[in-house]
Amino acid sequence: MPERQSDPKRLPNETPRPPGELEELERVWAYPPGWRKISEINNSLVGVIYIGAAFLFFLLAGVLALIMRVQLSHGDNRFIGQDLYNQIFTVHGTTMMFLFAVPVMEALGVILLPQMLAARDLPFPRLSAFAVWAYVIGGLVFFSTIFYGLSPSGGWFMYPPLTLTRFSPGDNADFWLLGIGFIEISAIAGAIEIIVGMLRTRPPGMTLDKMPLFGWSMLVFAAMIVFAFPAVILATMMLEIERSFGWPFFNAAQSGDPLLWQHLFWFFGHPEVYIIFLPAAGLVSMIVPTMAQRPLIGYRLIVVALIATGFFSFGLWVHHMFSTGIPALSLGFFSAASMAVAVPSGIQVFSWIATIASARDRFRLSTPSLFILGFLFIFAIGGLTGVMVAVVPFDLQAHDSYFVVAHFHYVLVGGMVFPLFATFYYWDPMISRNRLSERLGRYVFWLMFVGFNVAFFPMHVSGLLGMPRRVWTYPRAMGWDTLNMISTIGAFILALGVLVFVVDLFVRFRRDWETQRTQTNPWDAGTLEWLPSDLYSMRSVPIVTSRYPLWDQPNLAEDVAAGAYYLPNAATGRRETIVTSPIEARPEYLLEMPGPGWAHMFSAVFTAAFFLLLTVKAVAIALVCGALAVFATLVWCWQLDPPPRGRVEIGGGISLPTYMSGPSSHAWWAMIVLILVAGSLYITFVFSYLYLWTVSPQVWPVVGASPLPDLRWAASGASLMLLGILAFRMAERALPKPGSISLSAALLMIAGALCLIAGVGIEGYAQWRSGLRPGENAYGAMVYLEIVLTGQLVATVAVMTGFALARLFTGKLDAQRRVSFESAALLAYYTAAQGLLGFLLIYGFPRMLE
Amino acid sequence: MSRASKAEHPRWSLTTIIAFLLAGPIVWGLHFLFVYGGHTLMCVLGWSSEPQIIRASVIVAGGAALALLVFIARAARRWRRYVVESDGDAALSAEFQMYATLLLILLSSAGVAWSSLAAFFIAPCQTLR
Repeated sequence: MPERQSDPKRLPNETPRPPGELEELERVWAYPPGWRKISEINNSLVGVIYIGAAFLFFLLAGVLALIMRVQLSHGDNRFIGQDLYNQIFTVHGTTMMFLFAVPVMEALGVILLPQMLAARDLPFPRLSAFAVWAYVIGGLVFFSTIFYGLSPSGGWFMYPPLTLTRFSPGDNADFWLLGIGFIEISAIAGAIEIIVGMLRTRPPGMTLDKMPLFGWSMLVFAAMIVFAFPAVILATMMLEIERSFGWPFFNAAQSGDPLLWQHLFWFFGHPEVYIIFLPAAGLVSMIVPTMAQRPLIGYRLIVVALIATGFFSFGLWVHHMFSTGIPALSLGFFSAASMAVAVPSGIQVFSWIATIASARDRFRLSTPSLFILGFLFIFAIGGLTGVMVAVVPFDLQAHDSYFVVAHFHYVLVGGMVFPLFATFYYWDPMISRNRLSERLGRYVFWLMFVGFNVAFFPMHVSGLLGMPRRVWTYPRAMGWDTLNMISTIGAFILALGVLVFVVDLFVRFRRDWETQRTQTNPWDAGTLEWLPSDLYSMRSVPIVTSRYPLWDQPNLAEDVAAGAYYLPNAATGRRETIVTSPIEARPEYLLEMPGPGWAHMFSAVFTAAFFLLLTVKAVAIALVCGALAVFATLVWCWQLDPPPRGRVEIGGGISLPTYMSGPSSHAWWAMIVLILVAGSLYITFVFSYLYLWTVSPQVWPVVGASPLPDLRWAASGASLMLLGILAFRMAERALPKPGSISLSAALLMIAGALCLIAGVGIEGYAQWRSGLRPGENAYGAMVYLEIVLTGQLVATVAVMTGFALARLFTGKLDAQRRVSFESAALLAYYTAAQGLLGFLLIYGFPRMLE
Repeated sequence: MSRASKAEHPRWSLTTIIAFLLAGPIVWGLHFLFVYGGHTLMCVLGWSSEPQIIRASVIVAGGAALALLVFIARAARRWRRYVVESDGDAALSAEFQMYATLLLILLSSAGVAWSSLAAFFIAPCQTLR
């Protein structure tokens, strides 16, 4: 076992604890009664709803897959028509990728991470709850379009020009663009929660080298979302703008380029594969040691592999575009990166195999273990075919054939669905009174394992025989009937396995909604989530001295449950958790957390309504809903940032402040992550701008001969941006003492926001005055897109400034209680910096070309 | 070194630790961006008639990235002193960070070298169809 033992003689708090302390803790963390439970935001409830919704989407998309398999079971079949088939494969792929795979991993993060970290909850529980409701509503509405014939039919990657208005009239494609764009926002909200939670709510002593591997994988997963998802958000934004207003980003006839969509989509889409796989790998790294009853071999190697995979996955996007005519040397770079990523993936696989092989006694062959072994087998095949399609000449032959369909199902189902089912069986005792049946579990595994391989292995062959993807039927004379019939039979065997699981789940899953007391550590695992817990998570927050504390720290479970460790009570009389330093996990302050509420739910409902009504062009009602969403969000935020309540004792002679602002606060960290998202989006825009220039340099302006505003406009706009920064800096210093109001601070905040508004306004006016129009060509579209991107940030800063002003005048913002101002100011600084970069690009680049 | 002086050993800031930890992959990413973007740009600017210059640029970029990675690895080894001089959790934590940094640099070096090899075998600016 690694590391050293704890000193059980020096526990932070004396036991037995005072009477009434536990009851107070239970009262603070109790769910609201009856139907009002849906206003609860505790991860133990929200996480279950999240997983339930994601699994529902898995089942729904699975039904669509069965319909497709029936249609393809033999040649010249007329079971369903071509257009419906196209809609079904589009919704199947979209649902599996956007509504199942990513959300279910975030859901597991929400439910498992606080337990693994022995935290009361993650730092932004309402944000999690908002993300869940937004996803549930948006997802259900998107999926329901299949029942009305309104689903998109351009494939889950929605390539233009097929998805431009000319070839995809109607609202079908818009449902995808606005619906998925909206759900991506929910995914980013989840990622912010996970990053800040992993880095700031670890228990004392849990340094980076003691983090559970699922935590590491979720950290890399969330970081990848931050950098990958903005690309698809920008792409969907551009395509929707082109469809609605005719700005030609992708239309080659107007100097746009459809390949730009592919670059942006796959810059997101390839990391997406690893975004799905890495958390699953983290889950495997948690289950394998338990079943082997020994620490994982190569912990540090796996951490390195997770980080390396996260990075390398961003250098692979063009391997989805090998056949698009990109120069061969560039393809060579991407081919090399595609092979390089196999190294860290291989490191993980060998670590798991080594741990299994060196199990103490014998590796336990329980249902979770079977799914892990199935995963290793299937994922290894998917990985090997992945190396095959990374070889350019082979890919040119296999591209868009069923070989690729087989490859990515082996990777995704093997790499994610099998570990997920292992997870269901492994962690089910943590949230349900009854365990799922081991006997039925074995049936489930074998049905799924055999069914999967029977369904998908023949697709390698049908692909090599020339069967293309996305065909709704094929002539009998092609000779693909037998292979397709075998695939169809396999699909139904696989579905039968899932059905047995669902039946078992209905029969045995029983959750006690009043308390979370369930079976304690039935697998004899070593990590913290198996400590005795309740709705408040653990009774006290332990000091961690090992990667497997339950194995290495004697009496840990008893001492934690007795309240002998930190924070055994509700010290402030409210929900709270300990915030620790990011590297060494030293207690820094006590975060007072919000309780149940409705504002975040209304915010989710109205935000969803805004996007969906926009889709069906009900603009007026959509705008009303948008305004209501902003209002609900402001109400939600108004309840945050509670006043400082001095210092409280958490045990061991440690007293922590109950309020924190500045770079140490969780709010500051969340804003930084949000700014990274905005920055990624903007860098993607800069790439798009430069890319379109390489495609159509002739439409870029020539100084003096075509629309290019005078440099004085840029100088004015840039000066205003700088003045905006200055005003916010001065406002920060002018914040009043607690209990007073500062008019100068208010005026400076208003001045700062107005400077930013004027800065971006001047840019729009200058371009319009010069005669440039966004619908004219790709150059005009990109220039105005830059204004839109900076403009939306300026609008957000304006709203946040108004919010800070309201708090200032109501005595809720001062030099001490200042988080609402800091958040607005941070975003203002970033917005100004982005604006300055925009001026440099829009005014500088064409002049540089001269 | 006494216990008291060990405790006084300066701690590296969060930014420094993250910068070191991610230095390898970041250099790999910048190198990748440079060779992919640079090659595309040179082709657009009409340098396809000078394939040797493009090839040499890619190879030089690879060499420079590898040299930078070696430099960072040497700097990261300064952690070793901290590991030796610290005790308890701080030593384990520092050792972990140094180990992870060096391994990531190793993997990134392999990625850079592997990408650079393409320039030896594939002609610049030519498409496959």
